[in-house]
Amino acid sequence: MKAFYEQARRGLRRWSGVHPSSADWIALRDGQLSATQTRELEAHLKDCNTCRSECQGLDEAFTLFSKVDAASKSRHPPLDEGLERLQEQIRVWRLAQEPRIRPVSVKAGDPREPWRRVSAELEVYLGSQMTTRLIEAARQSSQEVRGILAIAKPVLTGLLGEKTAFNVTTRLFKIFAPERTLA
Amino acid sequence: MNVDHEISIESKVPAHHGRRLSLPNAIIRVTCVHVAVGLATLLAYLLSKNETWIRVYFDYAGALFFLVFGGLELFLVVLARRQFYVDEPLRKAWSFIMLASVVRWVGLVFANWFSVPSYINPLFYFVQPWEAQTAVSLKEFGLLLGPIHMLLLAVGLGVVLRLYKRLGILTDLKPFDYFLLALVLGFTLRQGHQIYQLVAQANDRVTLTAILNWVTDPLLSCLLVEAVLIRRAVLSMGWGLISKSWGAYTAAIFLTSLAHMITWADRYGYIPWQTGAIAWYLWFALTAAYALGPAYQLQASIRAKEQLRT
Repeated sequence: MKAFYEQARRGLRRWSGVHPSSADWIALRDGQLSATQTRELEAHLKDCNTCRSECQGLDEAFTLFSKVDAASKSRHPPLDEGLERLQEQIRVWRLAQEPRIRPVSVKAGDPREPWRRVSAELEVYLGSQMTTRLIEAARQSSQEVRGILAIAKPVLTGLLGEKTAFNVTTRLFKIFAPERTLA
Repeated sequence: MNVDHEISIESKVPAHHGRRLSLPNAIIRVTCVHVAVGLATLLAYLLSKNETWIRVYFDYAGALFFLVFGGLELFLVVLARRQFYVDEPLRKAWSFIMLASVVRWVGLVFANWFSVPSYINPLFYFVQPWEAQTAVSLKEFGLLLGPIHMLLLAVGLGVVLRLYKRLGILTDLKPFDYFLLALVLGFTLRQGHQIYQLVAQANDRVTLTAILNWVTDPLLSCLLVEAVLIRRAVLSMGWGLISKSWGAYTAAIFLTSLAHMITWADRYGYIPWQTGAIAWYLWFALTAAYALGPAYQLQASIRAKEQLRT
């Protein structure tokens, strides 16, 4: 029954031209798919620019979070704790990668600019008043950047799902660290 | 709605994204055009007294609208549900909403497509001569699925409310909310009293059809209570994509209640039929609202992905 469902789903997807989801690409990357599914996705990847760029994006994000990913496989910590550890691991990893990170030219801007962009980004999903509350709460913490990520992540995860929340928080992280890019 | 905010956000998206019409906007525009055409046919009927105008509109354009938008709602709900992992609370909520959408779509197909003697109805070709009684039975079957849809939707929205409470988003109710709740309670008690009288006076056996009809109003009241609570939470958040998603469901429930009330008032002669005709068009608006809920949820996921790429 399950095999039939999977086959029907794939057939429907092929027919409707819908691209495989992020979850499918993650499963492919993790080698969790059957040989047939793997062949099918790889064939799709070869022909589809959209999915190739999505896979590249995922690769980039996975590289960024590689250490945390390894840690999360051993156990599933509560969201808050997981986020704390994630931030810490990213910091450690970034320091370790220092020689391979090259600065790109950015204007020395207003220090409030990242906050404004983060606020605008969150408002799209959570609404203006909810965002204001989160930002206010984050500003009360000693480490504001970590604060906003730590506060927003559980809300985003609860309301948007882990996959989308991951994308949003990665975006927020990129806003806070625009002066560096991966070499 | 925070229109200024929306404009300022969209302006940051690259030009090719800005030009693209989002799915929720497409749904709203198509519905507006459809309802405008419907009102024009109603006007044409009033002026010419030729029934063909509204018959063609409701039997063809109306039936297709329900068929397509009901199907679209189901398709979008399936996609929205897939955005959540199995152990996430909203996965459960979307699962119930998905089942509700299946039931609703089947109901729409039977009540508005299969029961209509039109050339786009496949049954019309097989059942010859077309019997009015068959059409009535098919329509009744479609309408009977309404309470099941409401029950499943109520469970799904219950899960959403529980999550909102856990996240601390549920805020204290305002006097206006209590007023709305009092209205709902009054309506339920009145309906309950009416049902009690009907049961007490009925000589025949109580049928399943009758029971399903009776539970419609209490279930609608239950949905209204949930809608009032979600509305307050959504207002306290501001109009983000998540608020719009659940706000659309709230709007759909309020519109359903309004359509029920207008139909009831029309049936018992409290309002002229021309005013009662508003309810005909409200069904299109609320069908669109049901499709908008998952559309906004999906748009949030799509946007998150796209923003990450830019």
